[in-house]
Amino acid sequence: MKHASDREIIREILNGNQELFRILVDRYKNPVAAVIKGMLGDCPEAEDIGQDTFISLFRTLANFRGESALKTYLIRIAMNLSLNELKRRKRMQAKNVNMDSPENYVQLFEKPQQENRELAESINMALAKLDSRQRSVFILRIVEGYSTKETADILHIPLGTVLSRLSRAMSEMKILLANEN
Amino acid sequence: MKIKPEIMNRKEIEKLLSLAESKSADKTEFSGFSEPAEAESKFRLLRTVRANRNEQETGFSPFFTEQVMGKINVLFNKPDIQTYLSMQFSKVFAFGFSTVILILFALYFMHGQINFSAFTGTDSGNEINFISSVFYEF
Repeated sequence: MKHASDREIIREILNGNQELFRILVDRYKNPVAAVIKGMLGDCPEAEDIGQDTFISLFRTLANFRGESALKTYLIRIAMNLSLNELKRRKRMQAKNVNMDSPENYVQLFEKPQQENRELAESINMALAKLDSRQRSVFILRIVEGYSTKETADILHIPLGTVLSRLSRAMSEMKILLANEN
Repeated sequence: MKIKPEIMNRKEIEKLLSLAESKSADKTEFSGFSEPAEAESKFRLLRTVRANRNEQETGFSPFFTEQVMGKINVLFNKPDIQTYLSMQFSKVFAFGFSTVILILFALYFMHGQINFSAFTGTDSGNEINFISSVFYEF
């Protein structure tokens, strides 16, 4: 069953073979982690949101009509939960809670190798300063390599919006990186 | 002074993305762009970010799958009310049944010395019953 398609596995799960959900978790946990950690950084909440992503998928599995790939559907859930978490952080920040500590910066590049450390840190800092909408597009399209169409599908926005946000994000990143250096 | 970001048009962005994703992009000419220098610097940015990303592994803890499956079991496998009541009844029944067995054993081995009057102290028999003998011991 490990090599079965997503659809076959979903059918089996809906027929009561709940244990097969494990295969889907194993199959997609890494892309989910990449997106969540890209958006939130390598923080304890990232793991929780990863779990919530899969629980949410399990809860709505019966409603999954297969219009998009399961991975796209899952990444959309992960992205929405990450954006909610960013909103929550913003609200906390507004309440004067100190969220500006280094561990709250996006750490897209975990444990960077020595030679790339400075560059990776600069990119992390610059990404953390991007507006969440620009950041989501940048993470999906540039960092994780989803196509422009997939990015649009995941974020439920038109292709043109993806490109314009991307353009702004790149320009901002360039300036932020120049300021960092 | 805040620098105003230069925004590329959509067609140029698409072109830049496809260049950045092609394998032979290192020798690319940027003369086709309205601002070649700008395009080249953004191209470098894209390549750098992607190259850095490819070098790193991102993942959750090794127990992630188990944690998800555990949560799903707790959240979605709650017993219905009938199953819950029958489970509770079984527990009570098992406890009650073992208590009765213990009492019956005690009565059998004490040869009827444990009875109501022995506990209340109103036993009028001549024999020293079990409860009284415990007191006499001290």
